[in-house]
Amino acid sequence: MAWEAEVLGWRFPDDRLYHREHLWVKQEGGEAVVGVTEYVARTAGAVLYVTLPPAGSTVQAGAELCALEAAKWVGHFPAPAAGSITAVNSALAERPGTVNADPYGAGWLVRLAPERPVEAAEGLMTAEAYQEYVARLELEEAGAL
Amino acid sequence: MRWRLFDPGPLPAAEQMALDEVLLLARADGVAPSTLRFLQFRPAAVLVGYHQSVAQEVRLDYCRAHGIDVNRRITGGGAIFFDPSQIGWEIVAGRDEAFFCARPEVLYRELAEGAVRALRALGVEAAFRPHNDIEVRGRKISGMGGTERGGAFLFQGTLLVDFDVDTMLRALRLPAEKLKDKEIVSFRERVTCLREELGSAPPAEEIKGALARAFAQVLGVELAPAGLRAAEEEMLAERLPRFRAPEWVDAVRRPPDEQHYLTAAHKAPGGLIRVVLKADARRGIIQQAFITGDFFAYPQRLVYDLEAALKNAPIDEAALGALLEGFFAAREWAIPGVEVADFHQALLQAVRKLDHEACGIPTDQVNEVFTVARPYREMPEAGVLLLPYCAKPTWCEHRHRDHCDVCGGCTVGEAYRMARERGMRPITITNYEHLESTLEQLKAAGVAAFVGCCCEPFYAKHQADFERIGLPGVLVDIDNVTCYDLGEEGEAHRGVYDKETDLRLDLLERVLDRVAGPAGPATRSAGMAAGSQAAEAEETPA
Repeated sequence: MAWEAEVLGWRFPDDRLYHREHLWVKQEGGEAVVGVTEYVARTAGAVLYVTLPPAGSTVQAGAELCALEAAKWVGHFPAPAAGSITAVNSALAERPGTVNADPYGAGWLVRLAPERPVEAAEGLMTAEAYQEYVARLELEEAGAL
Repeated sequence: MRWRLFDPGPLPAAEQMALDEVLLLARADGVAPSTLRFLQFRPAAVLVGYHQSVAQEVRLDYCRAHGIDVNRRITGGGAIFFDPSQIGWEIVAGRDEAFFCARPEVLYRELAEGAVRALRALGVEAAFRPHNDIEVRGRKISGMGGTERGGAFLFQGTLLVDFDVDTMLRALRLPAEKLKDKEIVSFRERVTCLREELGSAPPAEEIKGALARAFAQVLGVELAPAGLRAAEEEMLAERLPRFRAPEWVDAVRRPPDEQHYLTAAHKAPGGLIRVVLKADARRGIIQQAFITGDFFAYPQRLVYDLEAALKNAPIDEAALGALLEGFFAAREWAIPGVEVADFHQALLQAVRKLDHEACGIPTDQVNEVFTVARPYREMPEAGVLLLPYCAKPTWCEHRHRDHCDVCGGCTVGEAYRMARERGMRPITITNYEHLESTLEQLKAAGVAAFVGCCCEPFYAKHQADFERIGLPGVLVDIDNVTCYDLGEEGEAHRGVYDKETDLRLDLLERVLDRVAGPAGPATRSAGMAAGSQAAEAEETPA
């Protein structure tokens, strides 16, 4: 990774794009890999369950992609881009904590064949823009804004 | 700001669960206001968490027989039993509300404050207990959970008013089924309710009033009673069938055998520590821990807090050690004669029983096998089988002798036959001293391991002696340990010392099939020296 944006020690690698619901999307060949950012990994609590869509299903951008449960909270995450699911990280069924431990690597959620290259998808931010977004959220949370 | 106060009154579980989703989606779609609402259930209901499996959490037969609804929440957390006296409260609002915080540790504390203030207004000294409970002096009175959709979130909690703990223990699959009677009393002590705290349960309307006033104050809103809007009524009519369907209730299916109840007893100088764990082997976590014992703990709530800290802890020896160190380092505590290491030992003994299953012991019997000096997996070949005299009938002339005619009159004879078939030497142990001297002699003679039969209380009491002598061994439980079979409490109580106990021949055979080895000359003289003709001693494996 050439460069990483950072807020409060959370890293946001710049080799991928980010969604406001704290997902990352990384284009790999014709596919896009999706996961949650370190913001979720560090603030949501230990992830205990992950529900992923079946491989082969299609999702619309913004429609529900998956659910994560941590601290008795079920968080629903939208698909950051439209496409068909080509693979899901089934290892998370047994080791959901991987999402906390390695959100940008082994903790990935799904791979999808996007309808169009994710660079062009609407509503995605660069690492730098996402960093600013998270910093703003943190300031709001702290009551500074 | 004005919020809706919505109180649909007592309803069946499917209606209440559908309403949760409707209120949340309608708020996310902007067609409904932010709402504080109450939940009451009639009939009583068991509600599993969004990701839980009914088969793993609920005693379906009991619930069906007693007309208890079973449904699934849209929120996270564990299974709960909602009897008609309980009152649930719930906030449905936008994630853009000023008080909303994406961090659960902040949000739970903030929103729990409404219920805490309401309880205090009713005269109960309630406090928030991280991560998601409200307690009264260490005893839980309310649990909470939440979820979100689009721009809205839903946060809900229970409030125990006049709680029927016995029915809860029967309706849910809790570690309680492995508990002894006096431990059931202890289990009840972990939960309290308004009736217990106040002497009588306040009327539901008084409780709801206190909750509404407290939440309005905490959230800084005005509450106006109102029903569903037309759009919500339509959504409810459309969604209700889904919440009534088995596809929703059984949306998550996991085999019950992924879940294990692991028990262990560890004798520390200050007392016995008994541990019951509900463990998820697939995900490698402790789902629930229950710790009792005859030690004296200060503060009294120490053990309850430890149980809360062990929730969802990884089943990993080092991680559990670090968790315990961190837990005890972070507070003032004292348990005379009990060290952190004793809790570690008790937990390790319990989690190591997961390994028994991998070695061919049936899931429901892993707690009935105890090991000495080695994990079961690493047990060397055993050439001796030690059998307790108490399993011989009182009329048997060999009851107090190391001898058996294999007459077919008791389980010991069958065990003698099984041992001989495998080339092992069976020895009847006639009292505790005889056991010690036999183990010492076997060890001195170079015997690699032994198999024995004794009950858990005997093993727990002499565990340190077994370890001190150090001869590796496998012990098979004899009685069905005092078992609390929910629903048949009285009849199921079978742990009373009986002079004619039965050996667990099926389990013994499985163990022998794995570890039995030829007796060899080394075993020949063992067991002869002390008390093979001894009269019935006070302390005998029983």
